[in-house]
Amino acid sequence: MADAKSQLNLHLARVALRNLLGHPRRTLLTSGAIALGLAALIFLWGFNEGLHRNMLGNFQNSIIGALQIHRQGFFQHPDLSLTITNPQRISETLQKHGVTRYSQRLDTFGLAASDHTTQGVMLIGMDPLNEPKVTELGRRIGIGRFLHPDDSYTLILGATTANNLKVQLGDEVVMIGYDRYGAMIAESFTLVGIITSGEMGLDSGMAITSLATLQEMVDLQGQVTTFVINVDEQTLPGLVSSLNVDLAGQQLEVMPWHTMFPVMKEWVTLHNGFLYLFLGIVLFIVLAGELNTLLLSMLDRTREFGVLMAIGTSRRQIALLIVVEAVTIGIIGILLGTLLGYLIILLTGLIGIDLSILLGSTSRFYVDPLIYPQLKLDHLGITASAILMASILSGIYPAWRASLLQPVEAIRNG
Amino acid sequence: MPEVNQSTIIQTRDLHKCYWVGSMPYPALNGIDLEIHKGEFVVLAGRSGSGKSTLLNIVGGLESADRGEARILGEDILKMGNSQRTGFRLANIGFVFQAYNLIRVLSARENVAYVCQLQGKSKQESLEIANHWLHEVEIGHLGYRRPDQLSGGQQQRVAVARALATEPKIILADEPTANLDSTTGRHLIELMQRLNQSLGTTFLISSHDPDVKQAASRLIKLSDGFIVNSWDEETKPPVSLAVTCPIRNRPFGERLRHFFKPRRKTDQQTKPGTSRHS
Repeated sequence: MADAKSQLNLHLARVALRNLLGHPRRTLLTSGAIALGLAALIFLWGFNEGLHRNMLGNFQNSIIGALQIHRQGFFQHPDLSLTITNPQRISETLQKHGVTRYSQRLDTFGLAASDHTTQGVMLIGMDPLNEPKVTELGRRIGIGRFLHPDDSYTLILGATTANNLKVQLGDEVVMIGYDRYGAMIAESFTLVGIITSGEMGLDSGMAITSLATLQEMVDLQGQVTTFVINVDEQTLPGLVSSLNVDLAGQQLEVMPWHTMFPVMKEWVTLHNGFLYLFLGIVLFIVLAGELNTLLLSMLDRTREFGVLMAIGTSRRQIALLIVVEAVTIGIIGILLGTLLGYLIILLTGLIGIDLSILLGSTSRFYVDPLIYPQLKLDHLGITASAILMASILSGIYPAWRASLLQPVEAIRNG
Repeated sequence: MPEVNQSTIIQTRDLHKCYWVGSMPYPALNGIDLEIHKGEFVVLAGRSGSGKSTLLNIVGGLESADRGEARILGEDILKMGNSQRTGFRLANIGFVFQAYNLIRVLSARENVAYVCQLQGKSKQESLEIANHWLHEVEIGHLGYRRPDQLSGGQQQRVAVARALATEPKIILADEPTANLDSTTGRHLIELMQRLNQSLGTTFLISSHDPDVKQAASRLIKLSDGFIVNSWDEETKPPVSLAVTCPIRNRPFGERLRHFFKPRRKTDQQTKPGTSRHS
């Protein structure tokens, strides 16, 4: 009996499908509208994802990395009294977790002085060998070069700082600061590189020298203030948890990029929020379009429903017919839309979308001029599921209306 | 409870039905008492608007009556709920409509098999039954055609096969020959007569086609909602329209209009002495 019932349901589903095939233009127009909506959403999600990945990647690669480790409180109040005295232990922990792309830094404040003027800067000592594994700072040096391992008292400045100081490559810049004991120190550096990234954070207020030079200058040999680590987004949460466990009790802070700069994360969330709003609008259009088609189809087949009821089809079965039609239209639309959206993402992912036409300079937002859309499966899943739900919903009202028909009235007036 | 003969298959008592046409009540049935026995080939005759289709619809459980009783196979179909009526129709009654009313996206044999599948039969069994009945109505070779690929007569034969496929006790046919030419119509009636005789299925047909009337084992004449013995018989109007035509039958829009319509006082309602001319 159960088999016969499932066969009957299958048969009803087949009748519903035949109805859709019997009206190919109507079916294709409705499914096509859904497909276009979905393809547009997929493209927007893909573009959004590509933009975010590009922006966050550039943001992390510019200088901050994906994750940093400091002594507790250093991020809020950078002070040379808060150094990591045993960096070897952290290096071992990182290697234990398979992290190879990390670098050590010593950060302090200083005053850069030229023959013309002075300017306050963040003085960063970087490891010339390991830094390129973590950030792409070297690629942003438009004039001159990055640090060499055998450099001594060489300096890299941002373009804005260099302009303010009116210095050029090879000029001497005096860095004034305090050593670990609080005593004032001043050393002369040779300018070897100027950063011309276009990003405000990099081009002004920063002076970079080698880690060894700065350690010597502030008398903190073998000590660092910061570990900068580069890992991908998927690995990041797990690594943060593991490091928090492994480094517990050592008065260290393990800070992913979004903890250090939450505004970036919030910007991404806000941007995604706009897309969810757009998804809602598209869903409403899908719902209205499909509802309209199904209601028209229902009006067109009122007599048929009356006859089906007269010959023994129950109200539930009539409703099932319409819901199956709605779901099928939705599924066809989702398949076509996914295919179309995927092709668009594939194509634009290969050639990229040039934003410079629209925005001029994009570098100040950490965005490259060319964006390569990428499809994230969970976004596709959410969008497709939402459209399927909208299709089911749009079938429920006509199904309910059809199930309320009186056979005689339907046959007479249909 | 009225006495029911063993062979009585359809019995109505004091059946009333009234429609509202706009704001006008229109009594379609005025106390129909009817008894049809097993295996009869009964034709309901009468002009348009005489109540034939309404009577068929009520007997078929497609429509409710305002008053009275309609016992089909001993059960009062008017007291059944919607789903109970649907099940009852599926098990006991086959329908043949004037406009064939086949499912346009299904082939002839799928149309016939459809009702068998509704009864819970397997697809294979249903298709075998469909083939059998299509052969019985002499269009077995057209089973794979869709309704739009069949002539009117062929479509009506498919409709008859569909009505017979569930092996019902009763077949109700509403003007089955009205859309057919006279030769095709005659053939269809001969077929229905033959099936009536060979299967013993009771046929109740509404028609004003002379060929159909001629084929009847019993002719029931309807005029203005009354059963009459001859067309010359004068029919009496219902006692009171207000009683026979309940307000609930009135379309909702009409009911609203009626509710909000300003009522004028009639001369009888006007108090004496209030008139300026009194």
